Amino acid sequence: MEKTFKKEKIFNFLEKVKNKMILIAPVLEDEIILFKKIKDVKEIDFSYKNSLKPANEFLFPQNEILFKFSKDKGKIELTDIDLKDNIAIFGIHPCDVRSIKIFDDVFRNDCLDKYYDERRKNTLIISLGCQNVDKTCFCTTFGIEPAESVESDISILEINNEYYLRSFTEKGDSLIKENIELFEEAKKETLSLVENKKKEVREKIKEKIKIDDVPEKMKNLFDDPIWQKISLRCIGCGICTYICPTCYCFDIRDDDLGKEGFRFRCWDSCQFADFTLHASGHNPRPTKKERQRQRYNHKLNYYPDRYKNIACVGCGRCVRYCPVNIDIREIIKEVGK
Amino acid sequence: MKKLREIAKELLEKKEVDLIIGYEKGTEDFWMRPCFVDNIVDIEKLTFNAFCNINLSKYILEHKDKKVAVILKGCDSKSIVVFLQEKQINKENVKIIGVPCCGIFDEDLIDKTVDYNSHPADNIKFVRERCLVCENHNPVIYDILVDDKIQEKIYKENIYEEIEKIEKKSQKEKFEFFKNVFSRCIRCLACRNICPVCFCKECLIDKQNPLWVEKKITLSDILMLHLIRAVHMGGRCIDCGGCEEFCPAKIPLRKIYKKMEKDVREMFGYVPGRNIDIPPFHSTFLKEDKDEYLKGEKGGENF
Amino acid sequence: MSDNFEPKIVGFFCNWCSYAGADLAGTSRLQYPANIRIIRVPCSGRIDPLFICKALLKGADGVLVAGCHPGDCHYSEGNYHTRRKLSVLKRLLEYLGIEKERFRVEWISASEGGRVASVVKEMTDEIKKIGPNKIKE
Repeated sequence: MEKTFKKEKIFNFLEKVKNKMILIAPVLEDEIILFKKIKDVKEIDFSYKNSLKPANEFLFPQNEILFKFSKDKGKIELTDIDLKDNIAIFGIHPCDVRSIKIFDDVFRNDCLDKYYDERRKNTLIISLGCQNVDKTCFCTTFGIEPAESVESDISILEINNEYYLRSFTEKGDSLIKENIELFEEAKKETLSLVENKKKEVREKIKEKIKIDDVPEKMKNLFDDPIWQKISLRCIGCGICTYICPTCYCFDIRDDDLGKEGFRFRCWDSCQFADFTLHASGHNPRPTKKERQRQRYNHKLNYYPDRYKNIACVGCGRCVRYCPVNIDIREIIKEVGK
Repeated sequence: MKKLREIAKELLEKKEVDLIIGYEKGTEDFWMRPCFVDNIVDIEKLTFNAFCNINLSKYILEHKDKKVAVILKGCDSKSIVVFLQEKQINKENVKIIGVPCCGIFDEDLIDKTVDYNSHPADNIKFVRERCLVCENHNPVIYDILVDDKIQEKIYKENIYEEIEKIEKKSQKEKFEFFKNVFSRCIRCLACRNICPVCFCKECLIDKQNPLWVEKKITLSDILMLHLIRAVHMGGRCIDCGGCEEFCPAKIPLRKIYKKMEKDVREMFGYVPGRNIDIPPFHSTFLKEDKDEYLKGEKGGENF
Repeated sequence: MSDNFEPKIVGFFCNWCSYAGADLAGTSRLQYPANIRIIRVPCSGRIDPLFICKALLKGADGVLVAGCHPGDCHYSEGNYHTRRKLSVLKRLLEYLGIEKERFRVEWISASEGGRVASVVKEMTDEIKKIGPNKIKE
């Protein structure tokens, strides 16, 4: 379905969505954009470039309780967690939507992650096309259209004081049908304006890097000095992994409070020194060189081997936040040579 | 930066050092990043300008097996004093190329009039907040100086102004402020990794046995890990500004460490990073240390 | 705060002076509130400031550290180190917005049983007034 609606009507639409399910959208707080549960739709930020944490943290939270346990007189009782909440993620950009697809491949595979799966089934994705791009954005390298996400349930793009809305799934269709009075059928002129807008935003992206041969080329670079060169300045923090929308390493821990507690999953980072530390004391990735090599091989070599797509969406967060300017774009170009 | 490259070339040619740690241009405008040079050809990459923000001193701890030269600004050189006080390096293996610095620009504050050749002293409004309270424009310890020393001048009148603003708030307001600010923490631990005085081989935050802090993002766990950092480096912090500058969640960490610097200065007359011969304040004591500080407002009433 | 609030106070008492003082309070049949849970340490200098932080962040409503008077430490210098470490910590905790009544340091000797009782009673009353610790989640 393709519809348009007046700019002010967006708040009516979002109010209706909020009444039906939990609405998650980007909010500006102290110069940072965070995706939060919305109480007042007027606080949503429509013109942001990049959020701090990727929006898929609601499908794969930084802390996720797996089950609770309690001990009483020698008996242990386990309680499951209820994941039935319906949520709608609004305002997510096409790069982050692609990362949800990448997570789908990992978590909804032959080994189904039931926690991710439950949340995913109950999530509606309403993406917002980008108007402005950051100097570190390079989503077009991965075939992502910055102004429209065909992988979301509903995609919204602002054109000349109106919003153009397009749904790609049944879930999206039914939400539109429920609120049909807010929308008008999209006119032909609007559709051609949309195509122009998409081209305009696409061209704002500084460069499209040649990436097709990178996975193959990386296979011969395991012992290449490039990894030592990069790791010299790496400080071994976890910034690149924690703000990356395609990173999914996690740890499972128990928080035992005596009589009761819970088992939870938390984000972990392959860049931390003790990530691969064995109980014997041996660490197969003892220095930053091995860990940096692992990170780029995972994203550009091992992941494409298994799932076809490259595990990067070109959001540019790691480029912007790395304290020592380890730039994945630079590495892709080096490897491609 | 011709003189800098000449110095570097000479050090490498005469084999006085095996490795030079300096700055080079990054992948975007005004981004400077660390550069490691061990041959004459790469010396051309070395440069220095008013965008070189990162503190390079911590890298020498990773190359203790070699002879290194490192380029340090005034604030950065104070970390070397701390390393020497705490016996972390062998000074014979380290050559410090000192650069007198009058400020580093903040990328988020500059406008189109600023470029690589701009002088911070003429453009104070674009300079990072940390530089406004700098007490050491000239390196406190060095082997070679790239430029003539500049006059020490603190840009801000009261270097603890920001701290006093928070001290004046009510107890509820203070708690709300810090609760708000720390709830954004994503536990990336970049603040710990970039900090030059945070060099423990096994950090208490990572230690499993005993477990000091669980890997959760509830307020009590986030505050615990920041308190571990504060207790361990408060009063040793030389205010390089790295923690706050590189925090992706823009948490104003310097407000805590600067507060501890203020307290330690007031209570014990100790300022970190100045004097190699004085022991660090936490490893010594004076019989005359006042109990008032311990009692808070009550003073010595209860004796 | 409601009348039912009973604060949980953690006490770190040094073995040679304050713990002995607490024993004396007991043998002298001096009453003091049971809100305090005393942990015996060999010297107040053993106390890592992080113990206090961890106690407060895990839900303790107050922490009391008691050691020998300066100059009288059984290990000669332990309490001088305590004084330095905990002065810095006290100011830091107040700066972060934790009420100043929640963390207290006292010098109590082995003969001051009465003081143990009065300090604990005073601290319990003060914390009852300000309410439970809000940090624990």
